[in-house]
Amino acid sequence: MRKLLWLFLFIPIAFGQQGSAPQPTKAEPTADALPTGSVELGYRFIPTLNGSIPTYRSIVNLGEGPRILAGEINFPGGKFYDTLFLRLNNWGGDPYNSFCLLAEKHHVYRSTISYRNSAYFNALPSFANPLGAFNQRSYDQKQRFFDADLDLLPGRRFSPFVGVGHQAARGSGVSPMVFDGNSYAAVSHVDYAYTTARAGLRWTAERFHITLEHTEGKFHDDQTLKIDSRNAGDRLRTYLGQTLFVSNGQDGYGIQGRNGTTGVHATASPTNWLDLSGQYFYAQTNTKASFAENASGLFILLDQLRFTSGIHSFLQNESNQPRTTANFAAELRPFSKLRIIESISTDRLHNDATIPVIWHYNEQRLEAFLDVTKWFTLRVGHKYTWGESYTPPSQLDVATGLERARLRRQSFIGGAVVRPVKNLTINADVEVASGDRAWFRTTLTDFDSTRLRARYQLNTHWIAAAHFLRVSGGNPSWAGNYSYSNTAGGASVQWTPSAKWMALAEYTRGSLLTDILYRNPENFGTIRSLYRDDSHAATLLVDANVHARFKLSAGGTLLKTRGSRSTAYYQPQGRITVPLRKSCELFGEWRYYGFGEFFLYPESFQSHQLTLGLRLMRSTAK
Amino acid sequence: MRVVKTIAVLLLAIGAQAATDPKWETCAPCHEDLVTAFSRNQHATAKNGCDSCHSNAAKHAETADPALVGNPKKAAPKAGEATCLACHKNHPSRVGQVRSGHGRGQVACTSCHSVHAPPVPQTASSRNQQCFACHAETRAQFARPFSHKLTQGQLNCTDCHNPHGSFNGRALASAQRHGSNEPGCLKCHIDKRGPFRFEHAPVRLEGCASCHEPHGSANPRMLVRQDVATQCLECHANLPGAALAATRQVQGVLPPAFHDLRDPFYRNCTVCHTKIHGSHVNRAFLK
Repeated sequence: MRKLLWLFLFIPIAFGQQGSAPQPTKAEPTADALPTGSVELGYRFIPTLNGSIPTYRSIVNLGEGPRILAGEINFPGGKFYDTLFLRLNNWGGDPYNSFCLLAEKHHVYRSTISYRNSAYFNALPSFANPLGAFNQRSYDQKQRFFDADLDLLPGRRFSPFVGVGHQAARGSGVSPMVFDGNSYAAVSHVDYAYTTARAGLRWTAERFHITLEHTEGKFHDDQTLKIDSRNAGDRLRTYLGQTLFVSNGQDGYGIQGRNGTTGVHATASPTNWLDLSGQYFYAQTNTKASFAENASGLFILLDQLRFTSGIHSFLQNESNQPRTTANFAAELRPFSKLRIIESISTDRLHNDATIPVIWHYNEQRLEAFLDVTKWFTLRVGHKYTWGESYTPPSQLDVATGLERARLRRQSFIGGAVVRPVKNLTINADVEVASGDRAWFRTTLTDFDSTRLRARYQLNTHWIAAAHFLRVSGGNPSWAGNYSYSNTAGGASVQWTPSAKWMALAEYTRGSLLTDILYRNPENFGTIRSLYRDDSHAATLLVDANVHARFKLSAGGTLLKTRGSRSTAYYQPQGRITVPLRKSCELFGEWRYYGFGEFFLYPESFQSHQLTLGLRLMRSTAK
Repeated sequence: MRVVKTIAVLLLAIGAQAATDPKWETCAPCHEDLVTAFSRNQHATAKNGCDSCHSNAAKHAETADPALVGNPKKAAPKAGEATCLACHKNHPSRVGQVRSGHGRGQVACTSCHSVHAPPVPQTASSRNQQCFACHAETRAQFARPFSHKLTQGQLNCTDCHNPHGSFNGRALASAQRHGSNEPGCLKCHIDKRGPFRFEHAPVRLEGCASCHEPHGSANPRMLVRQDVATQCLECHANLPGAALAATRQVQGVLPPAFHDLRDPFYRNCTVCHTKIHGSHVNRAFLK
């Protein structure tokens, strides 16, 4: 590792000054030698929280107390940096907080350090059971993400870069301990982390660019499950007249993994009418797992059809998964008004396990762009997607070996960019696909997709936009008679009558319908799965700078859906800012969260939140 | 520690070579605030100063006629892009652009990038607002109760998407790659990364989006169906036809077990199949 670091340090010295890149300019010193920026400090009150607390925590999860709500600090340029910038968000007890530090010196280095904390709380049943029973999956975890990147000599011909990353999660929850015939809610502790180190070299020239990079990663996942009192589990009936139970039990997972990935990205423009680009990745991922289980109680062993009072097992195994991805594209411009793009990509993985998963996926695309007139560009093309996979069959079907599936789909792709008048742009995308092989019953084989997007800037005050999406398709009988339809359309208007006022209104109407038949596992009767979701979503934002720095803003979003899981979710908000001094503002903010479900009304909640605080600012003296 | 000191010394040595080149004298008298803010911008190092992007800047300075100066932001997207690509053509972000929706839709660089702005990172919220300005239907999806924490400012769109486009093995051409050439989802959901001794095929073959709706869902686990049993049984469809089973044209259709769906216990498959994303221990994903 140290040798690698030395290599990356010497490359810029050896080659850094040989590039044809322009000479750097020394940054103008700012008029003020003190940091500038702003910090927002506040106290959040929650005067009302009615309804389901677990649902509130699963969706919103904001608490009361003092907070550093936001901060931006810009340090004046110094000897070691032209830019040093720190950003903070939601520190002091909020479930989501972060900071980001950027340091840069032109043509010398650029470094970013970022850190995020994320609380994940979810204690809701993931199925539509009005009784709310059997919610045996809940999570109360803290996740941390750290990333640091350093690019040396950015913008120069040779630019080495290094980086490290660390993601970790720790916490508790509820997860079932599963034995033959029954499952038992157990206290779960999770502790997993993934650390990566990456290094590479970017070589940029006038007519080509190459990036070489290598990433090494280490991973561990140590989960434990524990039951320390009698637990009769979720089974409502006896098993051959006996009640199954666990009196105490422990599961322990010890999973260690590593991965190494080597990649090359390149672009080239050998002539004025040809651009080439490509990418190649080879990854080798490895996992070593050990699992220990000890439990006492009354259990059934289904393979031997006998009862036992204790289960003890220990297992170790190892998995490898090499993966290769390669892509290539060429853009030809034989005439000034015509562009032809050919691209091909392949992705292959092979899980070297007892029962392996083998997967090949390929895509080839040919597209032509024709500038018919100055305001009309037409795009037509063809996409061919194909692949093959081998996966384990059902546990009841071990004799037949691996299941093989293929994917084969031909698509016509097209589109247009139209600018009939100044400041009006219309984008259209169309894909019509037909296939005769699919991975799964719900993989769309035959479908058509249309997407339209329009934006019109009437003048400096008014901007209007509209969008429409429709994906409609069905699978033939061999793939399960799956029917799918997704339509979404909406419009938005932005009005900025002056620098002091801004209003934005947006509305989207969506409709999703899927329809497929399946068999009831118990009696093999046919069941129709019909999923429907009709939604209305609206957003309104109004900002008004009433007088000097006295500001008002109001708005929010609302969502209402009808169908298989009817839901309403309202999030209005308002904020008032009053200047106290040149460098200090007082603000008050109100937010409301209202959530309700038609079938699962006990999960509804309503909450008012008030935040009072100060915004401290310091700007550059002129 | 020694290595850190060495890096610091080398950076100082390289930094000391920076030269002064006052290219802004022509424009600064009228555009002082722009030039001042620009001094911390990467583009401040452009060879010909303002003229690098704004053609005829000198003529404009002589006459003060705004019509004379070239402005990539006001030009047609193709012409504006040509200005940017004069320097950025062979750049890492260009590798996947031919497959990106932005590239195909001729979205101008200046639609998203503020060329004069200081190089400070945007807040997650401001970046998301920028994306939502065009992708309004995605904003509507994030208004759903169970979604990734974008609206709380914890994530931004570019954590998962590469707006310049990426060569991705899957259908989602804009998805970020991560670590061992894995889907961007696994950057945070690291316990799902495997490889597992017993893989659940859809995770590898179709990715997380075959079961989850990442932008927002009414289901607490962000599933694409209202409940777990429906989600699972649509694929594990129990002998949908003898021909289908015999020819094996699609996977996962054979009966998983003879469960009684009238019992609520069996309505939530993941109560027993706890390791549904893949298991190191059990073939039926029970542990």
